[in-house]
Amino acid sequence: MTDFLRANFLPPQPPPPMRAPGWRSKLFGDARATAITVLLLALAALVLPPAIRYLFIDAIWSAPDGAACRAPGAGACWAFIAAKSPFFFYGAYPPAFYWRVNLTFALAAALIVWLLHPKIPGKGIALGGFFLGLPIIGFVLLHGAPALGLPVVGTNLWGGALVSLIMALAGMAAALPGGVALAMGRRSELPALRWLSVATIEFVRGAPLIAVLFMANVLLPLFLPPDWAPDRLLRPMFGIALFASAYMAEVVRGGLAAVPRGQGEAAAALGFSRWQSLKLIVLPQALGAVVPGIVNNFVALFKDTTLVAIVGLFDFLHAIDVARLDPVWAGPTIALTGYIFAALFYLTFCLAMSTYARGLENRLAAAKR
Amino acid sequence: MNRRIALQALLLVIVAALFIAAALNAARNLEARHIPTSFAFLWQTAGFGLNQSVIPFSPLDTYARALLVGVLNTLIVSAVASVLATVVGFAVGFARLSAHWGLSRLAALYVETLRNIPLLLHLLFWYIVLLTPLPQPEQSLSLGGVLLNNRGLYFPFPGLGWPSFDAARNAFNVEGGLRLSPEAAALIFGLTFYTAAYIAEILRAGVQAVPRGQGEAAQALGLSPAQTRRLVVMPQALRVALPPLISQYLALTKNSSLAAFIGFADLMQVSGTILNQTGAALQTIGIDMALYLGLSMLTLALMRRIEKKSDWGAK
Repeated sequence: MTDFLRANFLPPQPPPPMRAPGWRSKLFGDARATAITVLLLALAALVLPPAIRYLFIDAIWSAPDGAACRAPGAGACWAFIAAKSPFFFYGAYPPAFYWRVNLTFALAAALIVWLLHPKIPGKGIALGGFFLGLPIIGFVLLHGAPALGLPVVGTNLWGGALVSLIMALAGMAAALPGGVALAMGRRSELPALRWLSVATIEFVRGAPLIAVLFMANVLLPLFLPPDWAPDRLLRPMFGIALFASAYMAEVVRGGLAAVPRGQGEAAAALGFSRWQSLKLIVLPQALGAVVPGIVNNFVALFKDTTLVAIVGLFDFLHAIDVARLDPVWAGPTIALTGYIFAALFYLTFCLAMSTYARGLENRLAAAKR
Repeated sequence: MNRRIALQALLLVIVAALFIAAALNAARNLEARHIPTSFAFLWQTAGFGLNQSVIPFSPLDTYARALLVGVLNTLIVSAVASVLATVVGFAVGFARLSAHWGLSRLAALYVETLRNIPLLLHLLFWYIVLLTPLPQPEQSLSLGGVLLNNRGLYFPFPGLGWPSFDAARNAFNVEGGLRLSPEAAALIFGLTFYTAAYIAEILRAGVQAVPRGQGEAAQALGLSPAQTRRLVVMPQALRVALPPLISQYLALTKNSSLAAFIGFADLMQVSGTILNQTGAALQTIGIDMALYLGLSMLTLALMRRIEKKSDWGAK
């Protein structure tokens, strides 16, 4: 047992400083702080110059092939990224139809900004556009519709960021309603519904995403009639949607638990039907409380889209990982260059989302105060 | 009341109908494709080698034994990576909480960068960029008794002795020591540094959940800063951090299935190979699911016990 009785007393302390400490005392306040600062500066001096040389000064910015990048002492091979970027972003999608891809994602971006920006009115329209309009328009644009004069582009040609973003968007669009449905089911008074929801959620959450993708890819065609044969893009999409829904259900459940019982009871007392109470009173509060959690889930979902490579799809990361083996470019710096580029791509998207989540968290906290 | 029963009955009938339809389709599809429907394939000869195994395994052994190797590899890699991730994560977490501006920013940079990059990219990075250009065994890099070459990492280990390379005795490989294949090393490094970013944030949240008054009261009572941290703040912080920490370990275990991408013989990779060779999709995926689910439930049950028994969970 520790003895908390004090035998000898500490010397009296000087009064605390009246001003907040400036940067000088923060970095060189006492011996320990100075030692840490010096160590950090030494680390920076050790790491930064070679990194900057590799990334910028010694980097090869333009070259017709990998010969210049294979020269000894060459840095990052940005020429490789430049030459391969159509493949990284569109896969084997026909270049003449890149505008269809661009238009789809411009539409998606516009709808997302509309949904998330607090000052733009008409969220209902945006919501309908995102969950109903976008999937239909996106499919017609990307896959094509001969009746509308858009030639069909088979999904075997889709690849790169196109596939990553489609998987992420489909996952998000499915996870929210799916998660709400599963979370509601889990709270239902009907035992059969409750147990089915719990079983689905726990089954999916207990398995790694790769196993779920395997299952969707291999077992789905087995369980369906032979002539249905779902598309190779649709199968992993189903797996991701199922996986994301189960995780989303747990986030939504937290939100539902945060809504006081009195809210639903008051709505019932005022004569709201169960659906009205749910739609107008309970769900808006429940979802509003967990928006940061939802966005963090989307970040995880976006990173998880890299796993669709296990069933043979060319997502962004897999496209890079395949392109680095191209004998025209292959060389000692190609892999690192490609991975740095991939890291920047994922960092940009994920940081944007998590920064938004944090800002929202602060706004929600401020609104509560 | 009757309406409720009718609703549930309808739901169950629909689910049962879906299951029966799926089973009928599966039966027809399996027969049409000549896919084995029993577990007998487990006792056939595997015919493939595995790059890392804690029990003796040769291509002449059965599929069942290969699966066992996979399960053991998954468990070992997850356990090792969990311990390492905790060490690194706590170090980063304490750095993040440091009063030193530079140290705290550096830790924040670590967290924000590493957890916003997909784990698969971490693994590819360690495997291809750092571990592939390693030298041949005869030019092994030596670091305090640890040998490093393109066959893997060799650690000194009780019972196995010190690793050494002696061209006169064995011109191709290191002898002695515990060998970690490059695949296993990449998987452990990737899982460690990725999960550490999450653990650092969990630790930070735990410490910040302790009311400031606790530390101030301890100081007013005359406890030194070190005593305050060790006796007052950390016990309360760990109580908050324990449940999310355990779910991180669970996530790490499930994430170890990404081994399939770099060819480390974990449960997922072995069963994927078996699936390709035998076509026994239902059985292998069923075994996978059962094992991963069992592992999750075991961990969760363990967590409940710890929460109930230790005074960590006591209020």
